[in-house]
Amino acid sequence: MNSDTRLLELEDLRKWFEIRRGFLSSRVNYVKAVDGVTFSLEEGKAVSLVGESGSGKTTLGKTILRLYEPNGGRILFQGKDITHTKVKDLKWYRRMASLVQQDPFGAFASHFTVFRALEEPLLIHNTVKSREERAERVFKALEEVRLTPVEDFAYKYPHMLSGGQLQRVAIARAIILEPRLIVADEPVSMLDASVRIEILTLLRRLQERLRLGVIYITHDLATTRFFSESALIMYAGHVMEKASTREVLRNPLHPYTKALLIATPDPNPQNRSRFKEVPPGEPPALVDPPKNCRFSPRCPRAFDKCFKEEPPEFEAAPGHWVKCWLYERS
Amino acid sequence: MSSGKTVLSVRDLKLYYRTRKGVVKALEEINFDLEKEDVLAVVGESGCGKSTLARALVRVLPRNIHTYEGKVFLNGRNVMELDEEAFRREVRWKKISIVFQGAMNSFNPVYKIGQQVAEPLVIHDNVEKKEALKKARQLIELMGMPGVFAERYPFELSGGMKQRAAIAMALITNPEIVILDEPTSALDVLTQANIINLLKRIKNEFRLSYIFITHDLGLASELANKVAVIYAGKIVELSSADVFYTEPKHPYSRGLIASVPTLTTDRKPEFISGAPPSLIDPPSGCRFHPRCRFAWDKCSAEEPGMIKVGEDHLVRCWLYGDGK
Ligand SMILES: Nc1ncnc2c1ncn2[C@@H]1O[C@H](COP(=O)(O)OP(=O)(O)OP(=O)(O)O)[C@@H](O)[C@H]1O
Ligand SMILES: Nc1ncnc2c1ncn2[C@@H]1O[C@H](COP(=O)(O)OP(=O)(O)OP(=O)(O)O)[C@@H](O)[C@H]1O
Ligand code: SF4
Ligand SMILES: [Mg+2]
Ligand SMILES: [Mg+2]
Repeated sequence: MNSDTRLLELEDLRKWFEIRRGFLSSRVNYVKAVDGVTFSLEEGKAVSLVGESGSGKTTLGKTILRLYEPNGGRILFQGKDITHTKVKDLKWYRRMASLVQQDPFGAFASHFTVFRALEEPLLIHNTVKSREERAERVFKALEEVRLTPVEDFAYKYPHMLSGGQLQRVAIARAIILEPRLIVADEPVSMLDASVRIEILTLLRRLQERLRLGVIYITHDLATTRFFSESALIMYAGHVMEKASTREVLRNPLHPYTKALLIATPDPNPQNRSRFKEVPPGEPPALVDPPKNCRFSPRCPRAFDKCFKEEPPEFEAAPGHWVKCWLYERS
Repeated sequence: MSSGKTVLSVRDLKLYYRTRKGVVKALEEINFDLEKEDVLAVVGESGCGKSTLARALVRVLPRNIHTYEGKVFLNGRNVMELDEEAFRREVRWKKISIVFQGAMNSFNPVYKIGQQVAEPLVIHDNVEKKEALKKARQLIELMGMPGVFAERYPFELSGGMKQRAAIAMALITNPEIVILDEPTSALDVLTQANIINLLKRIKNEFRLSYIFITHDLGLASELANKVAVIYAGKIVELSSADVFYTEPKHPYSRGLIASVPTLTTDRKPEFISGAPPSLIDPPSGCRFHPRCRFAWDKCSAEEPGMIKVGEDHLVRCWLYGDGK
């Protein structure tokens, strides 16, 4: 990888939430929501961050955006270390990196028109002084997300739009400051299948055209295929597997990824006569988790070592990393 | 698969809601048969009327009903003619039970899970409370959970476990038909797969029929031997699952299937442009015509009926039959 085109690099990134058991207690526990994540993203590329509920996807996304301060590791954006940069010195980064949230219905103030909602970031960052210029930027953003004719949509209120249309507005808002990176946190999981594909196709086109880096957070492995170059599989705060999306789907190595692939529904009438072999149980609690493989209690292939020691990431094939003792070279 | 014995026949079921903006024509011309051990998947986009159908069948309706009519034959008898008291005594829970959409979040936080699972028995069957609690415990175990979970409160269970409890509740009265309204949405895929396995096992064990409501066509294929596609309040395709997944006919069904990303093929998913219409003022003719790639003048002028295109395969589209 050419280091000039590296947009984002994470090195052993950690975000732990402090919790106290009772308010006088001096004992502090940690929810280790993101516990040692390493990866890098090139400009103009998309990475899928796949994981179940509670696996730490949102926490990782928000830490990358520096909405949280990491407890350990490093974040480099365009080579600059922003791991502990003070909030007041992050204004430039807020312009460069933006967020699209899961719930389109809750993302907008009900008394703002679409125009006003899109104008807001321009006003906050004071990048565009004249009203005419701002209007131009708003209309351009609406055009980018194909909410056309733009005049028809600009003066509507959120309740007049469908979920898919609102999510387009959310994307328009995320790109209006011309960022280099977008974290899209489950941007389509509340939408119907067809609208999902419509929005993902749009996001993909913008990513390519504007050379955006995209972090696509999802719990749906099937949607990663045509919409990202690489994929990261998260489980209980750890990245269990990372490789090109193609490789993860074609040649999954981690027992958890394999289980995910089997469990993901595929339209096929033969399914009804088969039972799926998926591990029972649920992900572990993340409060001071034991130092082992976090999938070991559910893993069909676990052996002694898995219950005692946390595996490092092994490079099982070039560029294909697996956090699993099965891939330790003896 | 199906034994040939029809347990439920729905004829011209219609349900309209009254709202300030006008009458919402949520369901019209609903016709289908359910045979013993059938699983009929009811699929379609958000707002197309899936939950309305579920609620109409068990007659759990909001107050703002404008029209509620048609015939619903349960083992040959039209239960739409029953008054509320008789329907409650003989049909709801007893013969047709339901796992409501979002059921796992509807448990009362102050009662133990076991008590709530037992509730349909106590209320509808007048079973002794102790007896009912015992049965609840058995069902909780049947759902793959330790019996002691009966003593827990809802907040002490994970989402997947609460959903299993909701299924236990639907089964406690030994119904013949269970309506499952999005029984796994909002759950993780592994949990979802485990619950689908469970639903399969239970169906075989108790020879149940399901009406399985979902917006996920992939998931529908995990259980269904029949599929009904609803668009804007009407069934637009009714078919065996085997035919439906290999040869969907209606342009809307074809679009829906094309939008599902698959892991096993190289097909790139596509989307249907446009959005579903208002049910207050639906489009003339075929309700899908404004979004249909194949539409021609006839489609906006005249409404197609259900056209037979094969054995047990009906399609509401002018492209078929002698419409063209
Ligand atoms: N502010 C917080 N304080 C304490 N714990 C937190 C906080 N935010 C998240 N967590 C915990 O961190 C873990 C990861 O949460 P996170 O929201 O990142 O998961 P996620 O993968 O985004 O899940 P979902 O798919 O449900 O959105 C969970 O156990 C969660 O309860
Ligand atoms: N009580 C009500 N009063 C008025 N309109 C209603 C009422 N309940 C539902 N509707 C409308 O009826 C239509 C069908 O709703 P329904 O809940 O049956 O859809 P659905 O297919 O179950 O959707 P989803 O996939 O989102 O659950 C929608 O347009 C909805 O807005
Ligand atoms: S009737 Fe016409 S508009 Fe409707 S689905 Fe068929 S071709 Fe399309
Ligand atoms: Mg999240
Ligand atoms: Mg519904």
